[in-house]
Amino acid sequence: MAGNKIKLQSNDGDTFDVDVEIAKQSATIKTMLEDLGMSEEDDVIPLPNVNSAILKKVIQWATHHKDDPPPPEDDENREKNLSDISSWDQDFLKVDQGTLFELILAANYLDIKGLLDVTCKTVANMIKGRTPEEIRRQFNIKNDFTPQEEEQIKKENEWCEEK
Amino acid sequence: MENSPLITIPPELIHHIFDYCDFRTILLNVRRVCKILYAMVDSYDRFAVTVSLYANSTCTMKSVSQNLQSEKIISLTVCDYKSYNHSSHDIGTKSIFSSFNSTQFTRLRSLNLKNMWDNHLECLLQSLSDAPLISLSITTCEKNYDVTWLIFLQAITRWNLQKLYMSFIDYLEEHASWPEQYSLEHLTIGRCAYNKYLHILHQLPKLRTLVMQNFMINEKKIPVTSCAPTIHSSLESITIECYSLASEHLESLLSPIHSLYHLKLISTFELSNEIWLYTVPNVMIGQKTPPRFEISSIDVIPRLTERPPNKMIRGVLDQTLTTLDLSQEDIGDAHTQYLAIGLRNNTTLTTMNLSRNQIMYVGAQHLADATLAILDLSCNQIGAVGVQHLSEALRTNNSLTVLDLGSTWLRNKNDKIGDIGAQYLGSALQDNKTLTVLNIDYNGIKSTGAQHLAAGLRHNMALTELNFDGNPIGDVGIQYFADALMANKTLTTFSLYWNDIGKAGAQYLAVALKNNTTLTTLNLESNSIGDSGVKYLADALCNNMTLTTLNLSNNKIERTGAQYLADALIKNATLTILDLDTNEIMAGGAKYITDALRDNTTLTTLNMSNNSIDANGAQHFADALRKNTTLTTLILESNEIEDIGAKRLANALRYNTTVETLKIFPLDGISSDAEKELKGQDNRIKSNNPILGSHRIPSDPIGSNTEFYRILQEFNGSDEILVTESHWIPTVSDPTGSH
Repeated sequence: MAGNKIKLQSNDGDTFDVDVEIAKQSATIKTMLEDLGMSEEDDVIPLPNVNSAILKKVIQWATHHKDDPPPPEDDENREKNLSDISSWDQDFLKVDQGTLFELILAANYLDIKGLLDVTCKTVANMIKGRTPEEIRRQFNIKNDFTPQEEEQIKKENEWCEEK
Repeated sequence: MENSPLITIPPELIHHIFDYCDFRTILLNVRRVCKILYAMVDSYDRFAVTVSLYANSTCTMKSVSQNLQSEKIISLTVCDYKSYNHSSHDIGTKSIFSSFNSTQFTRLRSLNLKNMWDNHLECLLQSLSDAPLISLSITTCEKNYDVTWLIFLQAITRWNLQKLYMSFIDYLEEHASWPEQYSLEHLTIGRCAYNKYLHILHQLPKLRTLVMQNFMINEKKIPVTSCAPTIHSSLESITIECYSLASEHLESLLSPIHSLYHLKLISTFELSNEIWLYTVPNVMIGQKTPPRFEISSIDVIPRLTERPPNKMIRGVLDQTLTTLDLSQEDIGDAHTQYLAIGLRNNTTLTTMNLSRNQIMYVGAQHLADATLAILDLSCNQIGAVGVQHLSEALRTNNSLTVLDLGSTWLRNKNDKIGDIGAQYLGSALQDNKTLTVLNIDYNGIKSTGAQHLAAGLRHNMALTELNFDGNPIGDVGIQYFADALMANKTLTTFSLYWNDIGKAGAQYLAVALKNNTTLTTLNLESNSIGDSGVKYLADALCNNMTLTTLNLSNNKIERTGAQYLADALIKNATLTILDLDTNEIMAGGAKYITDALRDNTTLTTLNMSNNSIDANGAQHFADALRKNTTLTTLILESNEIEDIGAKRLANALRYNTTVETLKIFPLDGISSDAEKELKGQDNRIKSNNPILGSHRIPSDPIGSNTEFYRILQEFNGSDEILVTESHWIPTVSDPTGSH
């Protein structure tokens, strides 16, 4: 009864056996399998944009979420979406920033909507309500504005500053 | 310094992150971080903006529209908090709404109006009538919803909305008349009565998700059992945020539709899983695919969240399968519901393997009614209560022939069925007429449990095989079984491996063997029968004419014991397999056995591995082989027969044509060259491969098998001591403390 497996190969050469149903959460892989008629049995699907460590995380995520209902299409009522990250996902995403952004890139490349959403939400939570200086420190970004430019932007923002 | 990934990832991904940030953070803070992010914010065009109607607020429509191009706004939230606090209707002057009127929201798709008074709501909806809205969300300050509904019904004709959120606004049927074929896909409403719910289903055929604050049924009007006629609906998901009805009303809710795959109920009351476990799956049967359902209390701690593993469901609904293997699939109690439901409609499946899952007593209860022939529930946690459910079913069940409730000695004691479980099973065995094979090994059953099982066995007319390994019933317990065996006429195979049986127990069994005429296989491996116990058994063998297989491995049998057995082998004419592996019979004892083999004409398989038999002992076997013409398999592995003994046996084979297999390797003091030579000389000489079915290394990690470990150590370095690797549990610590 074990489901069909396919082999996914990371850019550093490791291959992973993954249930087809799990792998198909990636729209990219789903397309490869369905449109390009790749046979599930023998072929190895190369994923040149994903390294082994990240692919492992992606598979872990997809395995946990394999029975999720299909994600809703763009939900207009966005407010609801802001901070509803499941505790499993929160734990799963307790990783260093490098890994977090690599996961975003991988989710984007593999077209896994649920993973892209939750990783982007995680980064958004690191930004929300922070001052520019806090954001710079958080993400290690250099302030490349001249003092004049800074003054200019500050002026632009005055309309909305707390009175 | 390396650039942060935040500013090196593609712009569309940065924008995706912005989608989850509030617009103030993006405009006021992110824009000021660095030049790249400044540019990113400038090119972002999916702003979700929140403004206040209150003129003194920092964020009004006027101030926002002066600083942000309105075509970049796709979502707008308008709050009326301040006016709510002041209870003032006056604030809504035309000037405030004119700022909305003058702004061209060419891409606004989502409008969210919070805490509105009806007059503000009306003005706003009018001002924004040109926006291409597809989603509208409204909460109101009004206590009466009549006017709200009228305003809203005027509004919906302006837009072809797909999503409508009317949180806490009760659904008023008398006002609600939807334009025909309205394309609404999502609806959130306050309280909704049953007839209004049906009205929604009828009027909104494209509706896919429905969220109700509460669902009400007038019990006087609607009989609980009524099933409304099917309504053509696309509804896939229902959420009820304050469910307060009894579980049986769910049927009224779900029976008109057949498209559901998600049901979420949050209850105001303490929920008892038990009730839901029975009702929810039943009402979900009518749906196309088994839905996912979530149930939680008002504290939002999920009590029951279930998603049917697709594979499992597909398997159980597949009408071509006869066997379904779901071992080690993390199947829990709730999953078994789906299985049970599926099984009710499945007529082909006869074998189901659910071993090594997390099924507890509730799951066992679901499965109790299944009409399977073979059910493997080994290594779960059904416990005594689970066994009670199964036992009640077994009384009348007439399909099940094989039931595996076995465990392993590693499992937590609490999971085992114990004496209480044994009592239920025993009483079920009295009535059951179909079960032929029962495995309840390693279940912590003691003498009391044995008493109940024995009582069942005494009256049972169907069971042919009982595996009772690893239950420490002792001599007291075995006496009950022995008594039962005298009355029982069906049991042919009885495995009592590692049951703490001593001399007295052997005596009881011997009496039984003298009277029983059905038992053909008896496994007494790894007990403590000893020479004096073997005396009784050997005595019984002289009279018994049915037993064909006897396993006495690892029973502290020495030379004297071998002598008793040898006498029995001369008189007995039925025993074909005798296993004496891992005793201390030695060459002296082997002499008695081999002498008997000269006369015996029935024994075909003899295992005397690991019995400290030396080269002289090997000579006795060599002599016997020249005379004996029935033995086909002789196993003498792990003895001390040395080169010379091996060669003597090999030579004897030249004069013997009946032996098919002779196993003498590994043994001490023989070179691999000599082994090769002997094997080449006669291809009947083989290395270790188990031939007797239930060969196991005793797995008791402490205590009784210290002696065994000593023996094991003597063969340290030779993997081949492990007669059957699959039964060897490598995690066992070495009780002698060294390795």
